[in-house]
Amino acid sequence: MKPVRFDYERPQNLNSALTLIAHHGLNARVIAGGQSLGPMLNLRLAQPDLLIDITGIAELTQVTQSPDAIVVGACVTHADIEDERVPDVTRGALPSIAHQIAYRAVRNRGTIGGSLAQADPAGDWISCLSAIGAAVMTRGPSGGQTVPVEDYMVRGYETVLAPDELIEAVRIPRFSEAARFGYYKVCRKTGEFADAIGAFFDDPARSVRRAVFGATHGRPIVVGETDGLIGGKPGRDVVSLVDTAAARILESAGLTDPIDQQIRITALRRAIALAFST
Amino acid sequence: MRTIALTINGKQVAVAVEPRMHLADLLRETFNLTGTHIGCEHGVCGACTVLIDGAVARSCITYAIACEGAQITSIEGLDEDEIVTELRDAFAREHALQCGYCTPGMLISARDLVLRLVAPSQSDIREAMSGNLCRCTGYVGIIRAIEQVIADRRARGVVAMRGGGRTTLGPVGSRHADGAVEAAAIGSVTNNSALIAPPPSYASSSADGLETAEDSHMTPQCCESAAVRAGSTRPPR
Repeated sequence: MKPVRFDYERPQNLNSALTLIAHHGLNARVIAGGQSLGPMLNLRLAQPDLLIDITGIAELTQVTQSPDAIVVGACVTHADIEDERVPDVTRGALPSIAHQIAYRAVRNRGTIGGSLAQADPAGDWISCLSAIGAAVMTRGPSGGQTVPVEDYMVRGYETVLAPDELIEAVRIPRFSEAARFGYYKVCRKTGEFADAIGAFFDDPARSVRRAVFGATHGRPIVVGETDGLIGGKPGRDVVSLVDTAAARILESAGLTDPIDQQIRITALRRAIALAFST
Repeated sequence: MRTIALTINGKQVAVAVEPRMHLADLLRETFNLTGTHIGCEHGVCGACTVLIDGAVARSCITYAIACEGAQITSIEGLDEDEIVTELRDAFAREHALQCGYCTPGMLISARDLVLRLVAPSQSDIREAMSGNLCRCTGYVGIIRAIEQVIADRRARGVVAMRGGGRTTLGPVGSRHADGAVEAAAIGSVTNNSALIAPPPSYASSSADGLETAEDSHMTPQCCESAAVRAGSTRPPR
């Protein structure tokens, strides 16, 4: 259970990090808290020549607020969000998601950017941030781009990030007073990766309504046009999930097993119920 | 090999490490601090839990080289710790251990609960301790012991501390290398009003029955840095 021998660099600014990444290419792995990469290294699933530790880069723990969003640096931890050391603009949604990730000892080091870069289909942030319309802000040698989280993941463990890019920050939209959010995950044991995730977000003030089936075999299934899937008017009625429509969506995404479908339909139904429980 | 400087159980040390050496191996193999146990060695079982900068972390998936300048506290450094002393008594009373392999990690995780959680139910404690596996006891004694220590302390008026007193952002242990700047300082030096410091939750938190790092009952050796940082970022009252 020991990693292969690797070298280690700890750049102090983003440009040095990008230079190192460009120079070493796929033989290097970027590490932040190491709570996903650490196990992979110990199990020798990852065998890099070089680790580039980005936690010494002050820019990556910056937090900036604007009237409609908050931008959170990639190296902000789950515990920073859970404890609200990062101001909450989501009326409690993100702190409660953060609280459910793994265990406190993991949350004290695991980062929001690391979780997104890992792109494990069963990770919490990828599903939850897809539902609320957050965006990943990337940085590479030729500048940066802002990619909606639902377009960011290509398939399991694969993202739109080029080999010479890294995640700089995550843009989280500010919820309106009327926004409703529900999230439910099915786990065999508390803190383990989810077998199924359901997420539901409804913000009538911004005319956004999304349902997400997460912990699939690939990217989360984001339903932006929920007519037919969900009955009831946004922000007024308690809404309900139309099982047959949900099964069709899952089927067309390649989830044909009835149990795979049912567990995700149940997770989403419970997420919707949670969104309307207050 | 690289030489790193860090503080282990209150003592400053400089030590040569291979980049791939994890913190648990550094404690056990280099410093003979064998109270930190290695179970699964990939972040699942919790046996290797230690305090890094006063906060719980897994030492098997934290590489020693990433802990430059950090304060590490293993179970050996908590002999005189007030909370751990109370937990040890309660663990003995409630038969909360049998083989003892998980116990150092259990005590350190339990200490974190005692410090942070206001009035947890049994199921809250079970959930919060779910990252520490025990194969002997069935957990009943462990949960009961933690419940008793929290109840006793709250009855004596010792209140919980939100976030365990942490004020900086980013992975614990990783903010000390050259050039790393505390999050709070960034806002003031750049003079950009959009930049924000971590919220002054420790000054305003007394209303929720939470206490400041200054008033806490943390031991000096593991929490010195947390107290200093809380002071440096706290706005005037």
